[in-house]
Amino acid sequence: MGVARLNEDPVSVETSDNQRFVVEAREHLAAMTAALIALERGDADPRARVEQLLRAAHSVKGGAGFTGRRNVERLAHALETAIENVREGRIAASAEAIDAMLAVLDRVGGMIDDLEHSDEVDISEPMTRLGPLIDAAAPPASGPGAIEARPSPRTTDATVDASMAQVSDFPLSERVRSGWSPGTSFLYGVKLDWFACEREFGIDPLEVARRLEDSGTLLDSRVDPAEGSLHQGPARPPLWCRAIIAATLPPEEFSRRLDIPCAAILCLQQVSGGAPSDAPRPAPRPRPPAAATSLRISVPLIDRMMELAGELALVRNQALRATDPTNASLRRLMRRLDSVTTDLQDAALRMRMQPVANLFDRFPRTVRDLARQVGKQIELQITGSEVELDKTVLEALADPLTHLIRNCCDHGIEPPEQRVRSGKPPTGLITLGARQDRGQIVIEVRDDGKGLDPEAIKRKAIESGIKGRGELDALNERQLFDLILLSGFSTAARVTDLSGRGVGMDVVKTNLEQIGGSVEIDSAIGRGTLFSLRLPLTLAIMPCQLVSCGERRYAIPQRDLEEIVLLEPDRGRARIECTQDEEVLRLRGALVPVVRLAEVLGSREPFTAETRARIIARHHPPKEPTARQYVAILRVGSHRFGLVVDNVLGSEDIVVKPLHPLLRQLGIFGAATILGDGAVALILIGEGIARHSGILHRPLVQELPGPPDSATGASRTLMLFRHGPSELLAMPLADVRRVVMIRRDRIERVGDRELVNVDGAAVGVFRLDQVLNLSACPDEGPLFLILPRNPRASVGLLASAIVDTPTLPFQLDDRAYKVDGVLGSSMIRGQIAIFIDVDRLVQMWLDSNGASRGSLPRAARRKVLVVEDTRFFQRLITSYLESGGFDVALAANGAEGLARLAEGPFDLIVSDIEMPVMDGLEFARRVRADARFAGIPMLALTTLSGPEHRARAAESGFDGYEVKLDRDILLAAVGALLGSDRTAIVHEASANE
Amino acid sequence: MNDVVPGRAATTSCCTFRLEQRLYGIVVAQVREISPLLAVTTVPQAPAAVCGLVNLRSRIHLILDPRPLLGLASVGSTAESRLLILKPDVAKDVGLLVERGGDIVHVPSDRIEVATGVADSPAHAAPHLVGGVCKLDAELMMILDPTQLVDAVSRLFRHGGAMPTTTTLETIT
Repeated sequence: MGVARLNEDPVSVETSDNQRFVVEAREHLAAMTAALIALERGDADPRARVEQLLRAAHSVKGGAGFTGRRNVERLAHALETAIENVREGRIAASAEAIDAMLAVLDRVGGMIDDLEHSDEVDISEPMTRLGPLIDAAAPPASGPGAIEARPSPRTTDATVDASMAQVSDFPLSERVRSGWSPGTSFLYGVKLDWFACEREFGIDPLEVARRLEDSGTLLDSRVDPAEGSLHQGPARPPLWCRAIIAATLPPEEFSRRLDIPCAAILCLQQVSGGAPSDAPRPAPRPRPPAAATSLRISVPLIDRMMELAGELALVRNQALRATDPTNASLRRLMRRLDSVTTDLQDAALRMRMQPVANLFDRFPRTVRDLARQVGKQIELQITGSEVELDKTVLEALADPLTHLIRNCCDHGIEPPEQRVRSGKPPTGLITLGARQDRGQIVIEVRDDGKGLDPEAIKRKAIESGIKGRGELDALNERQLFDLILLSGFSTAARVTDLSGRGVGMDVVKTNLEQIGGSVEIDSAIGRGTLFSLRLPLTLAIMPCQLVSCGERRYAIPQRDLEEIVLLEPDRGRARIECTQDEEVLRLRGALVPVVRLAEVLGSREPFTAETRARIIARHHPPKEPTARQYVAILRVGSHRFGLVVDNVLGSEDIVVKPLHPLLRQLGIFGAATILGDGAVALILIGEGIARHSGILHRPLVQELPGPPDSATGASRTLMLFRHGPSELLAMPLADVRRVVMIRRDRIERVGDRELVNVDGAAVGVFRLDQVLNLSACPDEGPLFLILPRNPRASVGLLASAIVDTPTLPFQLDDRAYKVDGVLGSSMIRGQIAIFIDVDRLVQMWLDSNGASRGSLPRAARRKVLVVEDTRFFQRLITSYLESGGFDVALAANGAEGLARLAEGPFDLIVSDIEMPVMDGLEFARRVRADARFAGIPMLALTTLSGPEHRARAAESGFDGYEVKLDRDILLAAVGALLGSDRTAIVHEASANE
Repeated sequence: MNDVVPGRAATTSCCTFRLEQRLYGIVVAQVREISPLLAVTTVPQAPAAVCGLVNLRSRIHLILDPRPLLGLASVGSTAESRLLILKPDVAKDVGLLVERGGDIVHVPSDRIEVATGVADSPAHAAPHLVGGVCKLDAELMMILDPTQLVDAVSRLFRHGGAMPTTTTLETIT
């Protein structure tokens, strides 16, 4: 289970030189691999690539020399020479040359992975491979270890590995201080290995001394015979020379003047214009070319910072409670503390983020090698490498993604001749993209290869005994594709070296599910395959639903949670029933087994038939038949069950804390967290509860007919706020663009309108009591402006308090409040919340302010027929469409819809599927059968999701299909349908007449 | 309590506490701090020797109740309760629920005897948990071995978390 794994620390603290070298060398090797491949593909700026390669090879060499890894140093040096030959045009960057260099990179990579034994490895083979590339240089090489290289002709050697030397290497003696004039010269520390100068660059000791003296005023120098611990068995220990030189040249020029490639140069003191200080402080070192803005920080340290930020949040909460609410200046201070604390937590979290480039950058190499291996031509295009992911997620993604890419190369893309035969370009294309989507990361791997063949999948499934023919025929295409994610499934006709070795796509699925991700497959024969992976941004923070059971609070990860059902037996809604030996809930026609959290927590032993019988006896018949009950519907793998909890406290993004290993043995808790009041709460594992209660051993439950709709008390994320002191107001959080705090004295009156400046733009202040019968905003206290996600008008709703943003099951009662601008009311945590219709309200505000700007002229507006039986959705859809500039006519069911259609031209029909009298499917068939309406685009807007519903809607004649209800998605879908349809334009033309 | 014993011999410092009036000690070097009682979140399904989880400066600590392990009745927390937090190298993020904890006694190391199964002594209930016994002026101090305490709890988890009683403890050990 993922939760339990989250907390294992992925990275140890990197402190020693060796570790630093390993980390840096890996980065350099990765960069070199990328550069070599770019070079081979014909990079736009080959020269820059070569320079980059040289720098990286040089750094690896320097680091290896410093840590005394002679083999790595030699190979890196050989590589550097080869690359120099490429730069000087002595050899071409042919595929063979690149192959050889890549092979050497691999060897170096392997040696770096096992640094301790790197000097025991025989490197004659890679050296021989590089031989031809090095021999092209003028001086013939006399053997692997004795490559003679001229002093590097480079003029701007900014690549000296400064980590080789430290400021502490250069104590400033009295002599140095007296000999240095701070106003006119820099003070440099130079550290070099005499032997390396001679061995690697042919600069003999005398020459070194001469260059040191020539580069400036030599103030101090000393030679250390050996630094014993720094080398482990190199043939000859380094002979370090440290010199302090005063020079007027700035660092880069000084380095050029000195012209000793293997010297580490530190700028100890810069030219200071002011008075010379008695105690010289170390000045910043010359910056290495790139990586100037980043820094290595150990993960445990970041975790500690997260903890401290959490601690600060608790102190803040305590301080808030202790603050005198009437003291305005103190309250302001507290709010500031509040926002700083939140920002700090956010920053600590962001420190764990890494760009996906760190992972993606290895794939060009993978694809290139695989393509050469199987004789295919494949191009890889990468987008979105800048998207950032938590380090832990990124690490967990590496294996599944590599597998998918290999799979595309091996099974997806066809051999060139076959591609040409089927009319495609011989070079196959794989695109790898990352993007953020609603708080998740979506990674897509797409190939333009042969696609998945449903028939082949069926055959294979039967062969491997996964499913029977009858079962398979009942599956739709998407479900068939999902079969390839099962273990032991491979569609490749022959087992190749690459994939299809038994370890298959199931690894992808399992690995992703462990970190709370999912895979979706889409494919078309002959056109290609698309794998979409959805992943959480981070594992350190987990969206959870907080519930209570008795006195205790628990968190249920949102990813296990499908919906929360509120049972109100007295209102004739569903109740928990019992079959022979288990409790069940009838949910939209399907039976879902039910487990009581209190019973699970109270029983140390896993449930047996006896336990279940006792539980049933205890709860049936119910003691309080009319009591409300919350049932969290959890999904674990293909099992679904309901978990009865006492109360639902709302959703929260919680910071996951490791659970003590002892407690992990209990199986039902995955981790722990600290709540806002400082109390510890345990995070429940759905799988553990299912196992404890015996659900996992029972047959699969049937597929639910669809996601929740309002009839069962669906969960929705709301923003609860107050305008005046009395009423609690609610709106969908999805409709909120931003909430800003505003100062009362910054509200300006312009005519009869109030305006406030938000980020440099004037925003209208909308007091809701202007159009609704509400209590007025108090004259004291904080003010907030809720900026709705409404592009039409620059206006914000004034609020005196933002109460909460809970995800709650709620029932919208649209009878109690029949007011324009109000969708209805709902009982939320024992209070009546008024659910406002933001779009309608904004329109009313615009009208009352005499400003109709933004709304389209009547004649140009298109007309949409909305067929929908639920009043709540009628209102919401209408307001969304009207905000998008459409005129809306309503019908409550299909039959009414047909009647409305006859009344006037419509540009578009938006229809629900499930309706009384005549459902949406029948309605669509009738519309399509009638020549008058056949051309009107139809959008199904429903709570039913799933490919089978989609397919049925398409068969019936719908052109589009969207699941309720996101304003932007709806408008985009409507826009797409109208944009692609000529008849709509004809209608519009006639409407204009 | 001030049983400081001066002298040239090597001394052992123990952090003392009481359980059911009896005096216990844990070698100071194994103790990180004594904290006042914090709000404890109990862990359902865990053995009685697991008191629960507390939030000590944003780190979650597992609090063990040594009483059931020593054959004493678990009484939960009282006004006298303290949390004795162990050093991370002894047991990471683990504390013990104790009574009136905090006094330090210094005893000559040679006065600490290896606990033997004295029939009358409470050490008899769980001899492996008591690393040594030291006779002070007025009473006996039993020096507990916290590593053994944690091990004993983890055994309880492995054995299906059966309620620890003196008898089950003996069968386990």
